[in-house]
Amino acid sequence: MSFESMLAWRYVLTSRGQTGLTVAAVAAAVCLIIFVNCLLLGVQDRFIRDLIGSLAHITVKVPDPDPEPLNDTPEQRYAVQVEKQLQKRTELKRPEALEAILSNYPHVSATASSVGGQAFIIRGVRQFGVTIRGADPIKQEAISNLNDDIVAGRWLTIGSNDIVIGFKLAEDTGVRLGDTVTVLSSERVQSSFTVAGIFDTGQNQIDGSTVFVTLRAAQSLYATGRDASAISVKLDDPWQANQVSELISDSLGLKTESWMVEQAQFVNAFAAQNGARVMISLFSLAASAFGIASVLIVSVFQRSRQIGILKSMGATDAQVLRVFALQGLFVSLIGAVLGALSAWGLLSFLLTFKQVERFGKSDQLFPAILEPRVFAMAMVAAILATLLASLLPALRAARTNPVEVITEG
Amino acid sequence: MRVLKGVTFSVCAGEFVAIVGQSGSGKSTLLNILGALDQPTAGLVKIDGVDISTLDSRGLAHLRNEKVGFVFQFHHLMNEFSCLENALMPIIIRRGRATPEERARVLQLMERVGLSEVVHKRANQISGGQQQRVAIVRALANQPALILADEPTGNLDSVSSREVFTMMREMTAEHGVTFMMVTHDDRLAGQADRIFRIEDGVVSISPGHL
Repeated sequence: MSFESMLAWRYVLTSRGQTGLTVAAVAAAVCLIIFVNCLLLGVQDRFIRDLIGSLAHITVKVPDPDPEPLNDTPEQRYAVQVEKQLQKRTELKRPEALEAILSNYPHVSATASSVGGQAFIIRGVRQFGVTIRGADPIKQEAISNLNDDIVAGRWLTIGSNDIVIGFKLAEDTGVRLGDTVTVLSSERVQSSFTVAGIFDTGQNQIDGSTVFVTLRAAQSLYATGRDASAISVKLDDPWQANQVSELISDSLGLKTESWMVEQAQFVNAFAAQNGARVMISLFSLAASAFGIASVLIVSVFQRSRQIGILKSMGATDAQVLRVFALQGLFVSLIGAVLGALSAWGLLSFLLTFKQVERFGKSDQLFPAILEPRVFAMAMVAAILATLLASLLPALRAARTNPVEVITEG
Repeated sequence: MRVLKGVTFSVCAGEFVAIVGQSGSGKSTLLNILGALDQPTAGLVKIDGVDISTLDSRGLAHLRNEKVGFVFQFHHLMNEFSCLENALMPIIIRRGRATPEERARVLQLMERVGLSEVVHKRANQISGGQQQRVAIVRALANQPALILADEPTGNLDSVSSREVFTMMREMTAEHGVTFMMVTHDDRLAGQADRIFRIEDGVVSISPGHL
């Protein structure tokens, strides 16, 4: 191989214009692919984290009692109109035991029983509609990461008389840390709570209308005794939610809600974004490959006499093929490394931009993630594409007829 | 279209043959066949005892590498390489690198033809005459049995022409290499052991200076 690599390397070094162009083509493609993928993956990643950071991946509830027609004989047909029973609270019995069972399911990383429902917060003459979520703070924390979003007060150590509310709700109701609020639940239980903590999740829905209390407090508010209205489940891989959720509902006969179904519009948006991401990557690879192929074809054409001379000296077709294929390989290696470095530089620069600060917390404006796998795959793909692109010129070079090219001039 | 019609001859080792003819007479075709760059449509060609029709393109390439050295009218050196690297190219093609002995031998050849000063210069940094001399050393690098030259002095001035021709004559005689040269210069042709005159594809052989 020494002859081929020596020649290929010498060609790369001496034809600066060609080498410059082809290296730039590979570098540009690699840089673009890494940039687009890291940026979009980062955006998705953060969105999912924010979106379902505060949600359970799977929510397990008691199945809705659907009325069923009594007669189900195939010979007779009935006209049946099924009317679902309206809102009736149904609770999970012995939630602790159920939680233990659920922990054994694949991918399950945390569970938390919760009781929740609608309620009013009463301040003087004004009433504010809120959603109550009652759960053990430590267990709920494994599901919804609320502690990172606490901007005042506390959450993990609250007691049965404490309530944690969103900053938007605090603004709307004019409530501050330490104030007392009255809560009237939909089961007509009224109770007083002290505002022990205020949070900012960045999601208006939650910051404006969701409040957290302990499990015991919610169980009193909704008169559920020791039962729970739902069990939240967190998975180690959010994208397994549909499968695990089906597994649970099939084996336990319970109703399960997967975040992927509940937030289907986002899941579909991601699918579309992922499709776009892949297409951008493929097209930029194709463009780069075409560019390289055309530059290399010109190079082969220019060197046709030289190839003829080499063949007259005894270089075989295979050797000539390898020379040009290696030229493509060297160019792609240099270009891939340069492209990866530029992407890394560009992304690092973008990551320094911060969003508008709020409560001393700020996120990156461009939440790109520097995922090593993306870098590796982009480089490998570019190298393969370039090799493929070099194949046509290399074959053309290998098939040069020395008699034709030498005897001119 | 038949370029060469019914050519039959054999050439001995160390012989110097001049091939003379007008352009289009078929002398380049003859040279290409003799150098295993082209296969004849009919007939038998043996180079150093090997029947070239039994070889595929790979086999022909190996044969050329080992047995044949070409010198063309235009030197066709590779500008990306030094003179020494150019001269060593047939060896590098065969084995990837030259052994110290081979290197020494080629360097000696270069010295012999007066190129020791320019050994490490790039091929495009020396004169035309010097370039052709490098091409001659290159042709001899693999110690071939046969050197084929296609108007090697055609592109040089008369002084360089003389030098190059004398050099080729001496080298081939010294190393016992068969030397076949296409030329339109009757003076040079006259110095050959035999002259092959081609006219319309027919070869007539006459003795040279003998």
